[in-house]
Amino acid sequence: MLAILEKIVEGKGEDGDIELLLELADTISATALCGLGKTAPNPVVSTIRSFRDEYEAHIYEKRCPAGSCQKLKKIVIDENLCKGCSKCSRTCPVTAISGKVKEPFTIDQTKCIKCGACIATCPFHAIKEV
Amino acid sequence: MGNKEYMIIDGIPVEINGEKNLLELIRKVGIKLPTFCYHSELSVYGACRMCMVETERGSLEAACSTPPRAGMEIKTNTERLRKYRKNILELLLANHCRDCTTCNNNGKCKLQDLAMRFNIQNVRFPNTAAEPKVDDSSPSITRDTNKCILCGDCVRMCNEIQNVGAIDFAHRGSKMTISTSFDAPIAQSPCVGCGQCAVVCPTGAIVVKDNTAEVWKALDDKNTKVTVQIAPAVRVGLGKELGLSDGENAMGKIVAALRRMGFDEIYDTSTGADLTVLEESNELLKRLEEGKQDMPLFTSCCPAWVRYCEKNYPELLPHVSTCRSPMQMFAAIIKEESKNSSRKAVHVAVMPCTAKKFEATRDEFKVNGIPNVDYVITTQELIQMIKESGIVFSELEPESIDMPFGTMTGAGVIFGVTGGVTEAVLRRIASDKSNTGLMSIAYKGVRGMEGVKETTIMYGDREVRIAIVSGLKNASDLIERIKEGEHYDFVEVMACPGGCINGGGQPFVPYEARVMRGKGLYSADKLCNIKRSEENPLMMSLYNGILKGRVHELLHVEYASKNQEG
Repeated sequence: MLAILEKIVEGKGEDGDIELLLELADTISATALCGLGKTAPNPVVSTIRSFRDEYEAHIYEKRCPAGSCQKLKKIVIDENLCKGCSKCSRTCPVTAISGKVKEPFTIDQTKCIKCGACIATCPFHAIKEV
Repeated sequence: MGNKEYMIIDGIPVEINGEKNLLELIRKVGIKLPTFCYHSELSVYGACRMCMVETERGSLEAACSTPPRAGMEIKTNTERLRKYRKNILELLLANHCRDCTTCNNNGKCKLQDLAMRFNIQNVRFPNTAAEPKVDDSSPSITRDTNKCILCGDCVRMCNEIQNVGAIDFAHRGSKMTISTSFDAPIAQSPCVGCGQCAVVCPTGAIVVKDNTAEVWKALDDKNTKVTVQIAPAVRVGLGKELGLSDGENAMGKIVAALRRMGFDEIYDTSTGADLTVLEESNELLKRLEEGKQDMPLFTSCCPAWVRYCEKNYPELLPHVSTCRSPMQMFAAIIKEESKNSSRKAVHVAVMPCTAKKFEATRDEFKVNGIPNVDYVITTQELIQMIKESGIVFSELEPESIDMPFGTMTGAGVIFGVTGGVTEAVLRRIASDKSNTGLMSIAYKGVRGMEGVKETTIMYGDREVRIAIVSGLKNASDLIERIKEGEHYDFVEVMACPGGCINGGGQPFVPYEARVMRGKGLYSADKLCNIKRSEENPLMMSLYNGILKGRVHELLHVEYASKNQEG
């Protein structure tokens, strides 16, 4: 179950994963030897029951509504707010941000590790998580 | 005792007859409920969850750990149960090696079998099977912990029945494995090589070490003379796998098959057992007459027992008979005889036993560094070789063994079953040599599959107390009793429950079939012209020939090296 959940939060969830989780949870709570085993899947079952839409957002839209799944986060620079000061690109630990001074900068999403350092340094609040 | 109690299984009323759990009752009515972790002789573990049944209230119970109650209604095959069983199998397969075709246990694997039964065609979970982690340090068994499904059968066998305790669970949760202490190679553990763990292992996690390639090589080599001896228990152990019935004596067919495969001379270990009977009886009588303190005398036929004694009760070694096992006695003689041949002598032993593989490598049984028994193959490996060679076993015409060592007695044949050694020795030392006397020995309590048997016979005016144990736990319990002061004169120990017929190298069969193997040996004994070892005409010629002046050198052994690995 953990493996499937991790798959989902990494944005690799597939159609049918929720059903598979529920089926597994049912199997485990029905057949486990001890009470601990029988209740182990409960957190998963109750989160699916209450927040199914969030699961679906992860799987189908590859989006994390709560913004806590790092792999599903995306950090972007708002072209309209960016003044091209280059402060962010100097702060970025993996040199994922590039651009010409006085023109809007861009973030290379393949390099970005979602650390958020650029968000904190930007004096114009032009960088946001989406 | 009042009314009979009934319960309902799948809509059919079934009488409860003292079964200890639902599983037994369900199987009795002809439903093959799947299990991994249940063996009737081991304690109930309830880990595999395959035997779940649904009660009338819709709750689920594990059939192996629920006693039958009068009036209970259960269903064994509902949509829910089938779904759960499939899920469990899928989960097991998700982190199990799926290279079935190259697995040593291919075709004998319970996981494979159940996956087929439940029609698993796709595993929906990511494959998390780790690379094989093979431990082949032991000459007897090979372990691959990554094929383990953690049913715990081997652990319970090793601890409960054999009292060896070489392996146990280590770590917790998803990191759990079966391990020796400190994950040392099995050869450095208290393992005695009995192979009972491999018998109960449902997968390929513990298998018998495979030596067939070496034997084929020797057979293909024109410059070798390959002699072979076949242990008593083999003849009743392999038939089932090759199209005969449980416990059917297939000796003649085995000889025919071996001859076709290219073995030059084929002998019966029962002949070696006759030598053992003579030597061991002499030793017993000598000790009885001298009134030495080294009583009781323990038998030494079983290499796993000898190993167990060395590792756990080294102080008892003087009590263990100095006789070599029948295999080693016979091998010494055959090797001696083969010296006259111009070709290189290779001696193979077909045994029901994995510990024999270790025994063959012991320094005590090497002459100038060359072992008397070059290769030991188990019954399972023989079956494999017969299948590989394409011989249709069931259609073979039985053939007889070779000369000059081709005469054996019934006393030698029954060595393969618990109590057999004792019975053979009793036949030798009994004063009443009539037929009635012979038959009465059989009813002295030496026969039967019980783990502990006791009997008393008169030798002259002396009472001789005899104990027969099989299963090393029974042996150690008896030793504790002896240490507390109980007196026995002669103790037969076989490491495997029921004796060699249930050795670690035999194909796994349910309890009823094991009883049939014992019966098979006793009826083979009935068919033998000669019942007593001392009447074997070959013995006379051996003692006047090869053995003259060399009895001690060729037939006896002092186990010295306690710390040898294995």
